[in-house]
Amino acid sequence: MSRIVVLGAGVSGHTAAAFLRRWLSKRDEVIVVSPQPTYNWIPSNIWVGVGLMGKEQVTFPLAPVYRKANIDFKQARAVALFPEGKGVDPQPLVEIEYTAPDRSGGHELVKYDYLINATGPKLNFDATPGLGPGKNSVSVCTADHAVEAAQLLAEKVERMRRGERQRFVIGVGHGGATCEGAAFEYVVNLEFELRARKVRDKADILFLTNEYEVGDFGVNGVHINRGGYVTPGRIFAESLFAERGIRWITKAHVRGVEPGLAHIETLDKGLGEVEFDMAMLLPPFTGVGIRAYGRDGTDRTSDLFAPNGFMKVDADYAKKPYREWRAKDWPRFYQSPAHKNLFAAGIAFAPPHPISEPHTNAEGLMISPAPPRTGMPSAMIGKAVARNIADMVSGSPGPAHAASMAEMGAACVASAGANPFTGTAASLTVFPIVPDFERYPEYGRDTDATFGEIGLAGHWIKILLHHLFLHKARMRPGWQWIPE
Amino acid sequence: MTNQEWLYATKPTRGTLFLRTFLPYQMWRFLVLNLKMIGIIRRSHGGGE
Ligand SMILES: Cc1cc2nc3c(=O)[nH]c(=O)nc-3n(C[C@H](O)[C@H](O)[C@H](O)COP(=O)(O)OP(=O)(O)OC[C@H]3O[C@@H](n4cnc5c(N)ncnc54)[C@H](O)[C@@H]3O)c2cc1C
Repeated sequence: MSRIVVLGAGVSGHTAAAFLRRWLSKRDEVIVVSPQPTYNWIPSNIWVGVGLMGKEQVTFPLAPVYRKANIDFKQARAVALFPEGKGVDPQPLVEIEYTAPDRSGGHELVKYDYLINATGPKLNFDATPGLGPGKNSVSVCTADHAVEAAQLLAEKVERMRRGERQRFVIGVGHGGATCEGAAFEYVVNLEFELRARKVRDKADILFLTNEYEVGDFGVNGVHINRGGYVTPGRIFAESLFAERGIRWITKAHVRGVEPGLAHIETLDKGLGEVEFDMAMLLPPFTGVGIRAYGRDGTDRTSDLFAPNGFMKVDADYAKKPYREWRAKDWPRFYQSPAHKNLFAAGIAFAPPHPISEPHTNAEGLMISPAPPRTGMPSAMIGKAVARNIADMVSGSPGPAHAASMAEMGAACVASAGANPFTGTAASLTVFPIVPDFERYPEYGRDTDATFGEIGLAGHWIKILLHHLFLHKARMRPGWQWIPE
Repeated sequence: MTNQEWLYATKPTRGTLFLRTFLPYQMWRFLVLNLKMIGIIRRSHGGGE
């Protein structure tokens, strides 16, 4: 009998746990540890944030799903790993702290044979003074944040209806942030909603981003084969903004946010200020801060985790110049080099380097996107890790199923307005996610497989994906056949 | 409100805008886009396993 502990019930951890349960025998135990009682289909938070969906449409309680699937669920957060055991006992352990109301604050040491760290990001609002919910800006990273953003938006719409002009600043709240794609989706959805509510003429909308050019999305942009030209994605992103009257500022770091005022710095224009009535600025990400200890209690956190708190896996973390980065630096199995029974999936693994070319300001602060790990790769990595663990439980000497972001593509659908007849979305495919200049010397990607288009069909796909992925996450009949 | 960058941005023509929400064309694109995405998913699984 083996016990597999999965930390995190997001896209990656939940996928891993569901497949582990399917692939392991009944005698093996699957335990999920996650601090929230609900699953959140995060991509649809965008629609919650503009008031088109309620929180209950993008979340559901995890406990009944896990009970039915025979997965043990502990509503708790992992605080420390003891991969060599503790004291005289060599059995690996994870220390968890309960967040469930009936046991809140209680600690437990949970033994494991294999552990998957799929804890996603810590939303690091503190990196920018004044940033974030409860301070001077809103976010859509969690369903609750998105509800708050929708309430603020509704208040602003009322003001516009009374004839007041309102300024919206949407984007990322730090030079090292990631998730520009989500900010992009939010700004075009917000613009669409303001039109739908007939107050667009009263709104000034600005997109504020750390990208070198809009359309970079933290993947160094995409080159799309379209109309007889291989065209940079920037052309399409700028076109979308120009068409909708959205202004943009690129290469920007936010130094601080005060009520109604963001202090910014851009790589090309230096210091500046942006005034706003509503700011939705996504935070930078770090790891969630799990510590690691040796059997004698020595702190081993820096052996297992990178300085940004993400877990080190089978990647090449050697520091080298941008031109020397290789696709093969990226991990394939997400296995900790220090412990063969320890894996990290989704956002929780430490990327070897950014995907977009890094740029720094005079103080050495990076003003360029950190590498995104979107839903599709996060789920595929979770599934591959589950497959490898199931194989190892049955006697395989090591992982054999790879899921490198330099060998997989991504299909993304970015909503640009939600309406079944007048809505649109940008559908994008890229292959591979991490450019491979050895295989594709010119652009690093296969331009025959990299594709982009805006239209209503994309919106229908986005709606379909919302329902399909929630069906899959609820582990309802046929869930295993829905692709990641 | 003006923005210098808007002048230099590529803008869609009326025909392009019309096609974006023209139902018969979009039904066709729905099919094509789904096939393209399935292709990428298959290739990604194939490359990884
Ligand atoms: C607003 C927004 C829109 C997005 N839209 C898209 C999109 O359209 N398409 C797309 O592909 N991707 C999109 N993404 C990205 C996508 O949401 C992520 O790629 C995905 O959620 C990553 O999955 P994950 O499992 O690694 O992390 P998460 O989904 O963040 O899951 C992490 C889990 O770990 C839990 N956890 C945290 N700390 C601990 C701890 N100490 N112990 C145990 N558990 C812990 C969390 O509660 C959570 O359950 C979007 C992201 C945002 C923020």
